[in-house]
Amino acid sequence: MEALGNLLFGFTISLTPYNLVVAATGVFLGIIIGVLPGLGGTSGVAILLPLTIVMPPTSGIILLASIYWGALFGGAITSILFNIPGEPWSVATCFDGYPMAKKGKAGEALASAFIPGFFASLVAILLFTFFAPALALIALKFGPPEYLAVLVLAFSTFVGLGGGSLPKTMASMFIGFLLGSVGLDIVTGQPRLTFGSIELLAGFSFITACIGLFGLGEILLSAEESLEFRGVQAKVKVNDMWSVVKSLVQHARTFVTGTLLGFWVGVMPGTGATPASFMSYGMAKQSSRHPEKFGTGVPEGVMATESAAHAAGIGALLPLVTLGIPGSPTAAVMLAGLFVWGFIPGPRLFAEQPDFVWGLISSMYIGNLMGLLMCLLLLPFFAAILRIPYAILGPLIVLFSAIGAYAVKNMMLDIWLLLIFGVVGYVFKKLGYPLAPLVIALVLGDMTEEALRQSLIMSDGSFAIFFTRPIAAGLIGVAAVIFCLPIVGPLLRRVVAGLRTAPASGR
Amino acid sequence: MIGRKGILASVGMLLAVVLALAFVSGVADRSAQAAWQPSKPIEFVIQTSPGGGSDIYARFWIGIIEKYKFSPVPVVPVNMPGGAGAVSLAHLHSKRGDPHYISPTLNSVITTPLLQKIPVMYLSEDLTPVVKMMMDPFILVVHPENFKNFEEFLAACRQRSLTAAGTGSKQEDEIQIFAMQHAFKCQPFKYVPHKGGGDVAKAVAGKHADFNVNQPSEMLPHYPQRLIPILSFQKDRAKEFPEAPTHWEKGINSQWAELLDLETGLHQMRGVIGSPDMPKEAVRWYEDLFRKVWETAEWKDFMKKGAMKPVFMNSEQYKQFLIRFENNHVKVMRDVIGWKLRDDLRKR
Repeated sequence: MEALGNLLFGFTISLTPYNLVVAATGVFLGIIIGVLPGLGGTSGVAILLPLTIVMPPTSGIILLASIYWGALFGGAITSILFNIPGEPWSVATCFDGYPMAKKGKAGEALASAFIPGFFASLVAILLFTFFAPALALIALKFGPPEYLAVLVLAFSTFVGLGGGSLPKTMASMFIGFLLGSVGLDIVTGQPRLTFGSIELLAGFSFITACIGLFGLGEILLSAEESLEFRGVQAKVKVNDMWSVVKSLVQHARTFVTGTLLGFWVGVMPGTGATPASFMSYGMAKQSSRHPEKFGTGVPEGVMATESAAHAAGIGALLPLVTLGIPGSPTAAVMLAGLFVWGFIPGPRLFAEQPDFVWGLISSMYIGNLMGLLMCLLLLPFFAAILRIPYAILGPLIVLFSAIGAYAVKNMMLDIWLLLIFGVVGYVFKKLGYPLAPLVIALVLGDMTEEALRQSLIMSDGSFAIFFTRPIAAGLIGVAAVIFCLPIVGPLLRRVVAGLRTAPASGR
Repeated sequence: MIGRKGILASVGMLLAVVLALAFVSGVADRSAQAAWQPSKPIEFVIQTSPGGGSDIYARFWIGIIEKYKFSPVPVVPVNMPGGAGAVSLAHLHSKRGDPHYISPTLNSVITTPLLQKIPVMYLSEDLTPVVKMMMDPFILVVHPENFKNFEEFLAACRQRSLTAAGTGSKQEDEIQIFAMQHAFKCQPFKYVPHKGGGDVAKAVAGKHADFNVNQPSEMLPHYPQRLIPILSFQKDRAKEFPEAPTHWEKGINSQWAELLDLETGLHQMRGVIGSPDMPKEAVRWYEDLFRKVWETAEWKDFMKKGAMKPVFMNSEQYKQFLIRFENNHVKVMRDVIGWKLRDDLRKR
């Protein structure tokens, strides 16, 4: 166990008082950054990057990574309390977290995000510690056709995610695809649907759309219904936390699937935690015994997305350290850090800078534990926010949402878009159109189109490329099965039931 | 409780203070004409999201400026990604005459304005060139299990259509690859665009593409197990990779040779550009600032590790360089490759 010795050596670095203070500062800043909508972990890490140039590199990377862990924890908080995703990967946390908070179970919802999130991180860090180089080599085998297969798999898990009628789900999804295709097309370099506007060349940002559709839409709705908020009674009991830990065992399958799925999607460069959180939610819903309850406030829903998001966050650092390819936008900023410190990522980093690599890996354990403890300690405070009168809270949320939307691209246009998306979200809810398919199509549509067209360029236009490469073919096969399950499943059950009754009647 | 009158009074006070400050800074502006000093934070407008190529450079320079306190005011990075640089260029262009706006340059800020109808067309004319900080050479990179050297690559490319990976579409990678295809007399390459340099390196390291032309720093994480340089596009072999011959050595001496070369061709360059009509004094101040950055051990070390060519150019030299650079781009993009450039392109 060479890795174990290295890890212990890493702890001698990350457990020094200076590095502990650095990690605690990073985690705390990260939680705050995660809470503020729009201002994500990526910007948080970017803001502090120039500061790390005066620190020892190991402390610098610990600071940046700790911000990331903090943001992963913090992102769930506003999703649950206000239906405003603090981070792209916590959009799916809104689906069940917010209904729970509305029912007065904000404390339990937050605990269902933090505790599974921590354990998922722990599993992911263990995988990172012991298998990083081997996993990196597997990730290299994933080219455009394999990416497409993974994304098709993601879409297959969303079948029935909307919950509403099929035509409405489809309409919502197509609007998402349409919005996603606005901007400069990466394959041809041509502008699409920009109508000559320079700002639209940048396309619609996913985070602006989400804050508007979910957050502002919700505020408009509650402004219409009543200015009251049923989360007022929100109290946190130690029992809540205990029941979450128990449910972790009860829903072990959801937790394990979410964690492993999230970790792997994180390791695949360029995707990040966001698709992982959606996929995990979709899978949890499909495999659940009561899928109809998803979206009404079940803790498994929160658990599924948060475990995937946390595991993906850890996974995203793996290709960064081993191959120099960032697994997520936040990891991309950390890559900038590596260059600034004069390091070249890759296998040589492990050999030449062991204190840096193992200091970072060991600090992951520490940072995530700190994140959990801080969040649980602050939990009563977060839940108490809901006691602020809505007449004050509502405008504050709108203000922070506007700042968040502006921060993404520093463009005034995004604030207008935020307002438009808010109205769209309100209208969608009034008419019973599901929002989830729209945002999923917006975030994954772009990636899917890119992977499809890259693959087809590679194969001179032949679709055979998806079936001749073993990994791609296997994943597409699994996707086909999952896709057909809702149709074939009941049919199969009927056949099985028929077989069972047939011999009985024959007797 | 503060009454309405109280609020009005305090707002009035605030306004008075703001006006006074504005007056004072206005006076300061006029008196500072002899030796210009920034009077408010400098906005470093970055074309990419945090973590993108330009972003790394901008934040690195800002880090050095802060570490050595080179600037009396903060230099604030502002990311305005999108449209391959179009959004940030338009923003910079709208700040005519205000010298507190600068932007890092890369090749897409040359190619994008030639393709898209945005207020900027030629950087050298429509914005203010400030300094050039370095050149990043292109090298031809392959997987060592696919090709051992340039000869093997050349033989293969003449026989079948090879797959190339590159960053973006209609940008420097695709241009260099297109020029190579003609210079080497290869079968047409299949060009697969990717989002960033790391993805491009991964495509070849994972054998999803046959080759790329990349900057050395993007190849390094995989070197030499999964990626090796087999050709370098410059006059002399790079000190860091003495095993890679140059295209001149390999007898590529046709009309293409100059366009492929680091000094005379269309290679990646990093520098700084400012808002239009920046006053001479402000340009001097920035030249001085970035020369100090250029001379720090950190930046020299960074260039050395990434096998970059350390070149510094002041505003006038950079402007002359850009004019030739832009003309070369127009020539290759429009006349050689046959891409449709913007229809209102000014003749030069």
